[in-house]
Amino acid sequence: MNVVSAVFESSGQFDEDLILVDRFLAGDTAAFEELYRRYYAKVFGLARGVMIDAEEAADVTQEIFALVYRNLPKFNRQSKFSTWLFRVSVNRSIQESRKRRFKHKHVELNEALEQVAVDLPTDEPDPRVQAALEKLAPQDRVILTLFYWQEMNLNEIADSMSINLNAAKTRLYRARERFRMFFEVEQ
Amino acid sequence: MTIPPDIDEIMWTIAEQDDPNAVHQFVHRYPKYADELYHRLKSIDALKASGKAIPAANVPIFRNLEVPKPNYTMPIVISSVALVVLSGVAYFAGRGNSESGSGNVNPAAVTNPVTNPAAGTQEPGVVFSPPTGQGSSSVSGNQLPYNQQAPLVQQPSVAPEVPKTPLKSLHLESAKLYAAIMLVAESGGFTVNIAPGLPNPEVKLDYDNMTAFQMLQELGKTYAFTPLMDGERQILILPVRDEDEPGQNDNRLN
Repeated sequence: MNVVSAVFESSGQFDEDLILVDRFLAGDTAAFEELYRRYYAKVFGLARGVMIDAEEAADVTQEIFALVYRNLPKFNRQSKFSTWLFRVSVNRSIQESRKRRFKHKHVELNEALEQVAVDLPTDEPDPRVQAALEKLAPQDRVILTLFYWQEMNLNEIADSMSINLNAAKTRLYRARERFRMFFEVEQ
Repeated sequence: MTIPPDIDEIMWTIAEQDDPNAVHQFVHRYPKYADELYHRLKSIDALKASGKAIPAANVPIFRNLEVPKPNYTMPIVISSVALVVLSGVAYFAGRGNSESGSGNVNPAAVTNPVTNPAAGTQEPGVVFSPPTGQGSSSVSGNQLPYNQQAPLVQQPSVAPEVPKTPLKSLHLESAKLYAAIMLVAESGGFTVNIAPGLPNPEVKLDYDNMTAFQMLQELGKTYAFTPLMDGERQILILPVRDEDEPGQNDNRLN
């Protein structure tokens, strides 16, 4: 594939990430490292929203990039690289969240809540929010994270979750309602 | 309290926008929903603030850096079939010529070829990027960022000896360079590692009575790479880099 066709995905949109993808597929590992640096924070942010725990989110982020590394030759360029990456990230985060959900220690979380109620550090996520998110299904956490933390629009969310726009709207609405309900319980 | 769907939607929109004017106007117009709006504002604010409070993660080193091998299967299969057919054609054509009276060919000239030409073909002063010394994963060993050049070093003068391989003829109308290299190497019983940075254009091959290594050397002269023995049956393909090449020290790339 030549460079001109490489940088345009099927919808005709310019995607400069595809240059790096092509270079990586030609054996240039540094190109993948560039993609990794470019998207680490976003993928970590998503994983953090779904996994809640920062360490677990970091592990999942590494797993996501390892998965992308192995499967990049299968990337079919029907969408932007970033959309494909977010799809992989969403699916993997949900899978890992389900796997690890029973390992979460609610006792620790409650203890943290008691401590933080006295003195809430400003540079840490609000534990009441975390506690409310913890009670949601992973899919709800995904859509809230993508919408409120990653500030993606509904079209982008629909692409990343492989659902249509209406489904994305409905899911966001429900996730928001459920979050509010749990959040108010935590107050 | 049942909230009409349109009011419900407006309240979520206001809660997300967090615009004091909009809040004020809504409360003024629908005072009975003020409390509801307040709860929504509070939960959405907390959720947004919680996302912003997550510290920007320091990017750790990526832990998985094995290089996926490019998929050579199809080109190799096609090229192998072409090689077999063309070798047969070349053999019978040569045999036909010799039987038809052109018997002036000195057999000794064919049966005693130079099979170890490696030492004699390297131009003095030509520099190479270093082999990474990780055996079969030599490609993955190059973990420099793409905008940094590998240090240029002089190739060691003592190279492993090229094993003797049979003379072959190879004619290919069109193939990708990587596939052609793999094909030639395999025809001599070699495995091959290609260092990063070598382009992969369409190439044409037309070689008669040469060893696989000689073919690679000839190919390398045209497409700017050097084949080097990297073990008993292993060849390392290094793209030739010119220190004076424009853009090598271009700061805009850094």
